[in-house]
Amino acid sequence: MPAKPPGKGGWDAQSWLYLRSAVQIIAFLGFIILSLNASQVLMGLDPLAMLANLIASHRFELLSVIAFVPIALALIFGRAWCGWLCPLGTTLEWFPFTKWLKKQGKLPDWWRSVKYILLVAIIAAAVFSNLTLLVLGPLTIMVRTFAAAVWPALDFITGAVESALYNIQPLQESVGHFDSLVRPLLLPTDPLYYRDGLLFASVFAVIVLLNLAAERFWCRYICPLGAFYGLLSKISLVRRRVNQSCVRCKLCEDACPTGTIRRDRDCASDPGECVMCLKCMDACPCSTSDFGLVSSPTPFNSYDPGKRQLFLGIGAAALLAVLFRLNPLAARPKQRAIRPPGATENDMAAKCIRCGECIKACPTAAIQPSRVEEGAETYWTPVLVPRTGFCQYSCNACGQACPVAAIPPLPLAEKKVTPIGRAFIDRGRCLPWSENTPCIVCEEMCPVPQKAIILDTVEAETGNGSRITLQRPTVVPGRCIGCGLCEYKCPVGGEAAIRVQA
Amino acid sequence: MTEFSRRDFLRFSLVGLGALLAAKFINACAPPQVAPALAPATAPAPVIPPSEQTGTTAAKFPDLVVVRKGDPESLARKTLELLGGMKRFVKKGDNVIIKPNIGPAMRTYEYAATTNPWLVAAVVKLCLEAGAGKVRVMDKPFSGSAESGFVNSGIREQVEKAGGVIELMSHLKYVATDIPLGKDIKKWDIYEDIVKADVLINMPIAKQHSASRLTLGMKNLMGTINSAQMFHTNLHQRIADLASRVRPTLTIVDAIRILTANGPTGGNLKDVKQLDTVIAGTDIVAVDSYCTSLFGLRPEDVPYIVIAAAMGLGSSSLDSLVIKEASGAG
Repeated sequence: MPAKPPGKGGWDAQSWLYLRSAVQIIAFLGFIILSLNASQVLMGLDPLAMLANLIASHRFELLSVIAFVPIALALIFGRAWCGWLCPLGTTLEWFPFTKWLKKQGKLPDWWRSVKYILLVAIIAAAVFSNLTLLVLGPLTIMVRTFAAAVWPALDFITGAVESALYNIQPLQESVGHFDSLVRPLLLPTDPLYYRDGLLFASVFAVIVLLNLAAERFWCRYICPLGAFYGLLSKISLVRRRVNQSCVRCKLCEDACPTGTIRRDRDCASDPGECVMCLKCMDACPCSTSDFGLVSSPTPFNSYDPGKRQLFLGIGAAALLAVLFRLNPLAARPKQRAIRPPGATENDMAAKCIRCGECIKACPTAAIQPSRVEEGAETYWTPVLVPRTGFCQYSCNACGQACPVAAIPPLPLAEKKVTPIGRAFIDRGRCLPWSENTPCIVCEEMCPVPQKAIILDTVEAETGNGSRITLQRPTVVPGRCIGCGLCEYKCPVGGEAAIRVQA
Repeated sequence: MTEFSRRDFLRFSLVGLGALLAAKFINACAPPQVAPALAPATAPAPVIPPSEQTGTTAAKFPDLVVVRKGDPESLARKTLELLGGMKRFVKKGDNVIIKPNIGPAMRTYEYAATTNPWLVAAVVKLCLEAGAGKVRVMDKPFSGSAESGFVNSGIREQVEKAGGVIELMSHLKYVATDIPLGKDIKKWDIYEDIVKADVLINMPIAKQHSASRLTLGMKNLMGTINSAQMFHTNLHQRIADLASRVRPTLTIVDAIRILTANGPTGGNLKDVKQLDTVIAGTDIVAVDSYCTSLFGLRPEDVPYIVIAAAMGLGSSSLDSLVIKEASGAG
């Protein structure tokens, strides 16, 4: 699939560009299919996330072997991943904003070292068992944004159009057919809700809008995975070559989306920055640049990671790791968020790569991205929010989807008896306790074989003076597994009258 | 490649918007409909010729049929045979909906929390044999997705083998529906297809339930509505109100295995009692009344039965009913 070096007598540059576009489209579709099925494979393709996970958790995930494929790719073709396969890179290329783009070449070169500092910081923080910065991985950004913003938005739009059209009598049947086609194949049967979808979409939008400052701004200056591949590219086999007959016409410099071709440097480029997009080849009127085997060492650039970047990265990581742990929540772990079945707070800090596959996998949207108040160190790790969705009793999809076993892949039988929290009844809000109105929904719903909520039958007086018999719920602690179905279904408006805590 | 310019985009959007508005306009021009467009509520009873209804020709068909012993399919066949054959209810080309109970989406049939899949499949077959155009099976579970519920209960596998269609109830089709005979609720979101079906066959499983005491025919209808948890503040009256609007042609209670405790979700085989029995009839109140005896109760122990009888939805006095009992085996 990746670029073969175009030989002299081979394809012309235009054909290579077509091939690259085709590969990008196929790779993007592949990403969509994998993200739709919450497939582990996707994150296995992210060597940085897998490496950071390995360092932080001291555990080698078998899935990591997949990561050697893109690593090998980088050792041969440099940052071809960025220019050919990366779904974020492809998205950025699809929104070039060429019309509004200010003339290039104004941004200082040292900005390029930011991505290397970030890379060092991620690896160094992993040594301190902290993976917070992985929220900046390009694949995690894509998966998370699709899981919590893009798919829900698509679902919302589809649902709105469907209900509008469903009102039109003659269309009803076809709308019904369409609905059963796309649900549950592409969209959930019932609408699911995700908090912070707007935030994810905004972060994504900002990354795209940075293209206004420079083409592929993200890839040039920020992307830590790009930095990882950039380092490998320094020794890659296939690189861009400029031959002696080049007349320095500058056309390739204008065509280069990463701005690494510079006339003042003999139109040469840095393989650590080049994404192998081949646009320079197409732009060159005299066919003086091509891609082929290069064995000479890559010259050092001012922005390449040196001592300074290394210390900055390590220092920042150490500082962050310390500051995160000043969090008072650490002293009272039980007040923290409800985690997916079998996952601990430690797993969330040191194993979770923040990809959000579990968010997509959860069929009820019980799993939501965590917020700062649930622990800054574990920002955007999975938490269960029962008011949004409940943990389905016979489902262990999250553990199966997690690429790094931060949520352990529990067998279903084990998951069913693994407590994730415990329900508490708020007698000040509970209908039969607070106002003598009959209600037993929590008990009815409770899915454990021996109900964790029992009912006491009492006689009580209602507001109008009549006496009625009603049932009042009580939780039996040893039986409750904290699935949150009771909290989800509690008919009391706003905050539920029965709530699960970790 | 041609550029998709801003002008193209605006033109495209305008055309789209125009089409939507036109659609809305056409819709507004359509003859006004009494929302919702459903069968007149004044004639809620299932379409059975008066001559066949209870009381008029009491001798012709029994009010209730109770069949014991035998495998699910022979239980179903014997039941329908005693009721006068499926052709009495299903006409050629009819749109039939079967509503089993898969409320607890996570259980297999052994736990008696969901309707027996072979019994449902047998009824599907009988409907198809009687010439039904399409037989759909649907329910909306409360503790998980419908997809998982149909798989876990085994109902998807058996129904599809029998030639029926599983429908995942779409949120589009819940329509605010008037309940003219309702005492407490006058309007609720009910699944449109179920109200419109030519034949609705209600197939609950008999289960213990803390608030309603027993989940039987009328309680099973709660799977046809939205926001069922809002029912519970006045559960019995609301169940009866719903039963006044959603009128199954036939109610077939699965008592092959019944759940005697920890219902309606179950999960413990110790709570399951095997009876190998099917109870059926056209009068949902009568069927429910009879089923109380499976649990050692009487109809007056279950408030929604009492309320429904008082509302005139059916008969709860077992002594006055013609009950035919038989064995499904041999």
